[in-house]
Amino acid sequence: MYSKAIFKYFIDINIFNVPFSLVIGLMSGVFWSIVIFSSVGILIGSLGYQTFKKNEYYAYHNLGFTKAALLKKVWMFNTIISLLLFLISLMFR
Amino acid sequence: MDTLKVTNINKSYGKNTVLKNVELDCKIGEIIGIFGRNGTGKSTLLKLIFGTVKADAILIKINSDNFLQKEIIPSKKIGYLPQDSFLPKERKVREIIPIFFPNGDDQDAVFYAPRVSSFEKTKVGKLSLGQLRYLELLIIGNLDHPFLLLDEPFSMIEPIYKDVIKDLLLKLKKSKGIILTDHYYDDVLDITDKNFVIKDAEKIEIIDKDDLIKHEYLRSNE
Repeated sequence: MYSKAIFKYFIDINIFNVPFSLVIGLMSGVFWSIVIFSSVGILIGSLGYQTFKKNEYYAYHNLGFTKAALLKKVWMFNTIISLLLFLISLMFR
Repeated sequence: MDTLKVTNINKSYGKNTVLKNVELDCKIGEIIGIFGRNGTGKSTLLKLIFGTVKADAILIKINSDNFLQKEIIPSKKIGYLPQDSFLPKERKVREIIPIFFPNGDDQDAVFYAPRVSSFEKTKVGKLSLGQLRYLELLIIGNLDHPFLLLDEPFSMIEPIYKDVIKDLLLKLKKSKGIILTDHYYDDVLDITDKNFVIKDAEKIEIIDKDDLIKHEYLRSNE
């Protein structure tokens, strides 16, 4: 239900998260980049969203999603992606 | 018939009491107008009911069910139109409608609403204020909430869209209860069933424009 809305939020958060995680990756290595992508990077993404797209939260609220519920979904998706990336990085070691 | 009853609404910012023991109720089939000078707490009142501003105290009841503020959004019982647009500016109208309505029939209700075909290929950021407000109301109005809270639906919009929006609200009223606040008092009084002024943190019922003057929302020469 509302998969397009959730996907849009996922992209909007990770637009801020991915560059941050990549910079961390350049400084500290792939492992930390993957860890940040599913943890602190989401908070950075949330801050970016809050700063530049704050009013769009009302679109999600009208669909029944609180901010916490949205962030929880992004965290779940990013954790799954991080685990896959981690397994792939192990395969290429 | 569904009824929204909100009682014991209290909100202060520091020593400034914005709302003091305010009560409000709305039934499906009603449009309620709320007036008040800037800073009197009209928008705060709507946000308190929607749950996006924390109340000092509030009791929200829909039919026989009590709701905490944090339960209102997940319950999908109340829709809210904020003062500023909540739609992504970079997307075209026809890309946005499916985000809110996964079902094709529900999408059609918006796509085939009056005037939408004239701007469906336009990016949200390029819409006129009237088109944007109308689109937002169409989206919120076509979701399933039995109650709507509208913060300034007539503000700054071109006259032609005022009439379109009034027609839409009167149509929505058949299946929803609507509480709205706006400074465009003539437009509000045209469509509302009950009206209130918020003054000195309290709610006062009014009947017409003369009452707005009496309660100092308007000057006598306005």
